[in-house]
Amino acid sequence: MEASLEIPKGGFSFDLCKRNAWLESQANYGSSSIIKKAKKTGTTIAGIIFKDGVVLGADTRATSGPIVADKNCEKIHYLAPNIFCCGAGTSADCENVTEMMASNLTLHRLNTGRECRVITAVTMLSQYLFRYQGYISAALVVGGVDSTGPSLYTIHPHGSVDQLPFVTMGSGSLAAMAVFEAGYQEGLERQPGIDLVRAAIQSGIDNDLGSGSNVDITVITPEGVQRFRNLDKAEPKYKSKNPLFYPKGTTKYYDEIISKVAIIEGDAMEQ
Amino acid sequence: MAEWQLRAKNERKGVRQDVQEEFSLQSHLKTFSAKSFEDYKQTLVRTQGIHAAMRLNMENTILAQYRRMPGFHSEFVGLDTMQDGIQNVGFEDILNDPRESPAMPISLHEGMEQLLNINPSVEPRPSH
Repeated sequence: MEASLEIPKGGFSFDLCKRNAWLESQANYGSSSIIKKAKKTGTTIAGIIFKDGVVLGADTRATSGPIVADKNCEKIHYLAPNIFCCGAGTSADCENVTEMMASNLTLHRLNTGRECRVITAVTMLSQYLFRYQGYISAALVVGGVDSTGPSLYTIHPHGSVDQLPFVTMGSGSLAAMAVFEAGYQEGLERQPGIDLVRAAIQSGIDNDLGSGSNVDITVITPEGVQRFRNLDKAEPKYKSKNPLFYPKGTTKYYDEIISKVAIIEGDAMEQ
Repeated sequence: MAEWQLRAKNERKGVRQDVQEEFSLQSHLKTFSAKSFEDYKQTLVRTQGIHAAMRLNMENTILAQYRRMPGFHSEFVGLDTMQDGIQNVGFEDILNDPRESPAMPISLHEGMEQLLNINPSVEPRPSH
């Protein structure tokens, strides 16, 4: 009987799981935790469907525990020319999953020869996240316009999907949802829709520690996509160009010696 | 409880359990693809008859047996085409490519001995 040899495969490697579990159990004994905190986006992301299409908004702060890891990161990722996706949760997970799905959707478009539907992207993403049982911590808001019209979906890290006319995700989702519940109407025009999403993200930035910095907006319509990066900027932190400028007379002196120096022609080394 | 008792409770329980215990996601991923393939074959049995499923099984077995010797990379183009792996990009293609791992691959001799089950220094495994 032949035994079979396993084909070595790529993907996630689980070699260090036992070591990590043991390290975590050691943390109870008073020693400081050696485990690094993953860079999360602790975020406010939001989206609405307006009359002609979809508006997606996000803040731009990425945190690593209590420290701000990225003051101006991009949370609205490209999936297809007509589909964009905002991501909350672990930064690396969101970015890599959305890049991989963008590649898969391009292959799908080349195979079928048609524009992608939003539900295709959503199904692929939710099946993928379900297969990893929530260990890939990526909470996504997927919005786009296809042949059936504008649509907006949320996907939670364990793989569940919601379809709604206005959605928020992330740690600032409650603050942003409050703004939506108060101000959303069906059939909004383009500029009131953008202003509503801006207000919602701003509310998340003001009321949530994990969100901050600037506001990014993306507007998707049947005609095309418009991306506004840093539409609302946060206050600039430094005012003067050269902060280390000392006016003359800052250093006090109490003696002055002036001596004349004679310049002699010729090579100094000869002397 | 005293600290030494807490420590003893949480200490690792020996080498065998270390090696056999798998992370829950690891075992889930192994069974997930096998299970979804089984479900697909069941659907085939119900809709097209048992011969369709048998033929699928046969084709997969045939395509899986053409590979290079252990330690070398094998392409499996036919198997990928049958199982849709060729049309999808996954983390297996981007992360931890076995061709780029820092560890040396299995030595050819040891791999062949294991495949043919003829390792002379080991007790022969019970086989039926």
